[in-house]
Amino acid sequence: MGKTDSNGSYRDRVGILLYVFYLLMLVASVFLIFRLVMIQLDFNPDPEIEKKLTPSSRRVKVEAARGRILSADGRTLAMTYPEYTLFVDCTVQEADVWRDSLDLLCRGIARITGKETAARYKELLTGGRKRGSRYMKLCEGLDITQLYAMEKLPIFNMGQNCGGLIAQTRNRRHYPFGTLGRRTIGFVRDNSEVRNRYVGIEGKFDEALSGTDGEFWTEKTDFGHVQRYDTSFVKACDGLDVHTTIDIDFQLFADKALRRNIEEDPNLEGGCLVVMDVRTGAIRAMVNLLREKTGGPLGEISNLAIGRKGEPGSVFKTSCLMTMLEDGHVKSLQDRIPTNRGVLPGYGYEPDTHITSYEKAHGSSIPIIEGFKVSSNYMFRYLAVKHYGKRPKDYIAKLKSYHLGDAFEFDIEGLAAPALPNPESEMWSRTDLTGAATGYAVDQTPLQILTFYNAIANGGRMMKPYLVDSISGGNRTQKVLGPGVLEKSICSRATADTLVRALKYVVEEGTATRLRGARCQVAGKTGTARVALDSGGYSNRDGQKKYQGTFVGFFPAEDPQYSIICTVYSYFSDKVYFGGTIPAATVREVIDRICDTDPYWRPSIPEAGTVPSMETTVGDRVAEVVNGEVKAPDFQGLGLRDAIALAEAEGLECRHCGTGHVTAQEPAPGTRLKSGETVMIELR
Amino acid sequence: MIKKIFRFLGNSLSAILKGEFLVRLGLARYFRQVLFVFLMIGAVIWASLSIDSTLNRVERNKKELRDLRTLETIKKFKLEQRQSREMTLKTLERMGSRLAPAQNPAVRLADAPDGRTDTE
Repeated sequence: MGKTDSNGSYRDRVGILLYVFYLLMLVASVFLIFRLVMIQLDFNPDPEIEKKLTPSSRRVKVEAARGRILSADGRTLAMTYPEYTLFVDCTVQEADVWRDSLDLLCRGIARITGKETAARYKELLTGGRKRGSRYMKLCEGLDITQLYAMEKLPIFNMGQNCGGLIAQTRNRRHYPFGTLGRRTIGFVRDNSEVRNRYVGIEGKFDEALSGTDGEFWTEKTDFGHVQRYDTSFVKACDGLDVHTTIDIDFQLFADKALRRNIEEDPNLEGGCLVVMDVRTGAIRAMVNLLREKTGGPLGEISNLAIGRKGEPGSVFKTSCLMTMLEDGHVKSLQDRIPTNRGVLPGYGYEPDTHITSYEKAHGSSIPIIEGFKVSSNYMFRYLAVKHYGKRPKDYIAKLKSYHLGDAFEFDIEGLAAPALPNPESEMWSRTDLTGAATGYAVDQTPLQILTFYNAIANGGRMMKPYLVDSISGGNRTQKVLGPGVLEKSICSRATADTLVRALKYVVEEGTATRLRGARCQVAGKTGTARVALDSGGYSNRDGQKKYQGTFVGFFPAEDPQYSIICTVYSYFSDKVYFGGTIPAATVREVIDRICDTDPYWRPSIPEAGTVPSMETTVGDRVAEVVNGEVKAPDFQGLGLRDAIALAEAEGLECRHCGTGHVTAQEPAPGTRLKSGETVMIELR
Repeated sequence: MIKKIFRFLGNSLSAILKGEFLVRLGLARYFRQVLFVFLMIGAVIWASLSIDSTLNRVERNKKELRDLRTLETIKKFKLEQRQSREMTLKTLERMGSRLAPAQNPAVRLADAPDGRTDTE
């Protein structure tokens, strides 16, 4: 019970305590109000304290994610993800923790990185601690899974302030398929002193791939830095994905075939191989292999297919034949020209040995097809001089109409401009006409030659080669690039068909017989050109020459799906590198692999049908035994089990290959065999 | 006038000291509203601190998401690598498998020329 004071007010202990509490709060609030007013009117805080108490803001840049580069079937050829560089502050760890856990830590680092030994890392960390290093580089190039593993190691699992682990992140480009097509995929160099900074698809489409960086401001709170959601926020726009036409399987086939054929020969500087879709001009594979120095390894260090132009040699003769056919100077491939002992009068060329051999065997005239088959220089020079000797301008104009003198816009930088001789130039001489007819005195890149042959395969319609199909972002196609037509018709359908026949003949009977046994019929042309020196001439002081061997063609010849070119380049050597050897062999390997996998070549069988009834039974086929010998039964059409049963019934051994029904046997049915002898059957 | 002001100030000060200021102003009947205001002020302070805490959690989650996206990208990269023909062949060789690339293209089933099916 409380007391009653002199005025009669009722007081108790709780009331007094509450009143005291109230008075304290009152005093505190008066003081606070007074301080607030004073701070607003007149206060200059200590700069150090002001800095520590003012919530800090910082600007954070958001790097846009770089877009991917994808193959024709959507597989990723190039993508970006961050890599981590680890630094250690060697001064923050407690001495006993350091002493007890250092060995375990170093073993863990060595296991995770796999780059150095545990002893080396221990030496590094011990040295850093002795020096008092606060930012010592430990290792670089780690991915996030390795970073997580590092953060679990002893000492490092204590956080940055106690463990000393500092991770710096940097986005880097990665290529799942290694060096395949690397030059075509390309890269962007940060080094502004280098001339060629934007290489390949990465360089040409850098703007689309880069996206736009964003930024926002953060402010420090009691719990850490948080983003400010205000008008200062700039959203990052990620880069777009570039869809290419490259088929990575074709790229692999081409890369392996070219490497296998040129790697072992130290005289070969490098080579390139391009596969193109005939109907669309889409490039399915582009391989460029070059040695950086003599004897060095092959690498994708320069785009030879588009950048190295030179005299193409005999592959250019097809343009001469096309001109003759189009202008009616040659009516059919059976038209004949005089052999003249292989000598073009008035020009001083060496006699063409192909012609002299033919002349000895067949007489004084040679059909066009035979001259084309053996790639006779005499024949094409003769045709050019006979029909265009007085008007070379018309011949060159014809070559220009095939776009052999134009550089077209291409999906990567660096396509060298081709060159044709100019009859109106002061430098023109009459040998330029004969040179142009045989593939000299002109400059072409392998891609330009392929584009020309692709047009022949496509019935005269010249498609523009392209590498990029479309650009997409946010699961939506933003831009479609796709096929383009360079020329609707560079020649008539009839001319194209005639040329296809001629090119098939080259493979069947001529200089490209290495392709005769390919999985499908191939049509094409070989070319072997000496490479001209900058100083003029073709030989060095030792009489050695550089060669450029080419095979270009398309397959299958009866319904072309793909065109292909392979060019190899030699160093100075005494050896001649013909187009019919390494390039043809390489192309054959590629064609065989493509035929194994491309759906076009899949044989089909009906999904449903009636199984034909067997006209004879196994029992009817029992062999006749005469004098201990048996006649080999007829296994034709039998399944494997029936065939084995039949063979064993007669005491014969049976060996088989393939699956299905018997289509062939060795020895033939009816052949006399002794008991225990072997018959070989083939099933399909 | 000045006397009135001083009397007012004196009364106010004595009311404050006695803890009767609001009662003398006649705000006793608005006690619930006054209490509500104080509670609201407390709620705002609490909400502000909670927001800070939530925003920090948002930042941590954002970092977590970024790391997960990075992890996803790396896994996609490794999957692409493993799916490559070359890697598949190397893996098969390492496992001692005799499986080799097809020498012939796969046969495909086409519709029967006269439209018959297996059930007919």
